Amino acid sequence: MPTRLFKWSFALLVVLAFISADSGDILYFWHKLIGYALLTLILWRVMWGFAGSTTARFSTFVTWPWRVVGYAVDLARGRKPRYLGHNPLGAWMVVAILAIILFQAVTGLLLFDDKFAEGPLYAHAPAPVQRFSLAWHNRLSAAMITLGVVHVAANVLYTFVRKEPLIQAMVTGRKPAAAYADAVETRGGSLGLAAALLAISAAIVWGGVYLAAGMGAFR
Amino acid sequence: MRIRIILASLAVIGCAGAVLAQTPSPVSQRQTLLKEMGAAAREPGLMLRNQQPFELAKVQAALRTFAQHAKTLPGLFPAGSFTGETAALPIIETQRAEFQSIFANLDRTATEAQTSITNEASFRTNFPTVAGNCGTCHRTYRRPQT
Repeated sequence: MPTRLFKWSFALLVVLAFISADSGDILYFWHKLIGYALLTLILWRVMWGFAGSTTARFSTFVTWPWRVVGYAVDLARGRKPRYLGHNPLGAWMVVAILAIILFQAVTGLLLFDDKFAEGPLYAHAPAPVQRFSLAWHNRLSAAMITLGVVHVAANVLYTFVRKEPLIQAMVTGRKPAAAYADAVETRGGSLGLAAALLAISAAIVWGGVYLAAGMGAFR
Repeated sequence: MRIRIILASLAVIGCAGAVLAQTPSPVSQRQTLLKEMGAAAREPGLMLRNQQPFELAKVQAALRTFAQHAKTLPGLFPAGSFTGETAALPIIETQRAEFQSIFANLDRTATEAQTSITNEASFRTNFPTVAGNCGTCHRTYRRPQT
């Protein structure tokens, strides 16, 4: 359940991040707050990836790149290996999305848009880092849109064409019993641990930006 | 006689060269003006974010700078000036009318704001309308900064 709550909150926040970036707010007030929230969730997800439920753990689904190729070849040949957790392609999509949003969040902390919007760590960063952050925060937003479209399309394809109920599984947390390639039994994660890790992430992110920039981080 | 004509010609050419070397190019002129607008925007931005007390005089000065430079800038983006040491994108040439309309909007809104902004409340309401023109232009017509 914590993983599913994370996933859907994360997706909603990414969409809101795009909307808030284009809303004409010269201070990017909501965009910054959404960025801090996304950074909190990413920190949580990374910790959860080591201590959470079986299917959420990186050790369960993150594989070497050649396994992804092998999986893709299997698909192309019409074999249908099924995975209880994330399949190898999906696994790398998870990693890619987390990585790109993490990069966006960090560059966001470090940039000033030459006008009115300044990240809380900007004043503490050397000039080349400031310039790099501004340039790449703008450039990578397009890449995230591409990833998002591919991600949604793939899941729609799997669920409705290949009849693998991925979207339902991400909502209910259940998949029908079958010969899965990755695991037979899974254990859920501890809700108490999830809550504690979330509190820790929030303290790090929101406390950190406050220490760096005071109330300016929230304006 | 011929020597004197040659020497006089060389002197004229030398002077002309010196004058041309002194005249700033459109690129460096526009960079100077745009940097001045950025500098003018700084303190009003801090005021909007409650990091500096509101001061009407500084806001009015910024608005005057915006309106003034918005009149000069459109003429500083001639064809062929979008390569080399500039962040201005070639799309300015193909979308010249839209590009110039942003400066016109900046001039108009900054001029109106000089009358309509009289206190902090009207500053918070009206200043973003003026300042939004900066991002509108940059989003399409400025190369991502590196």
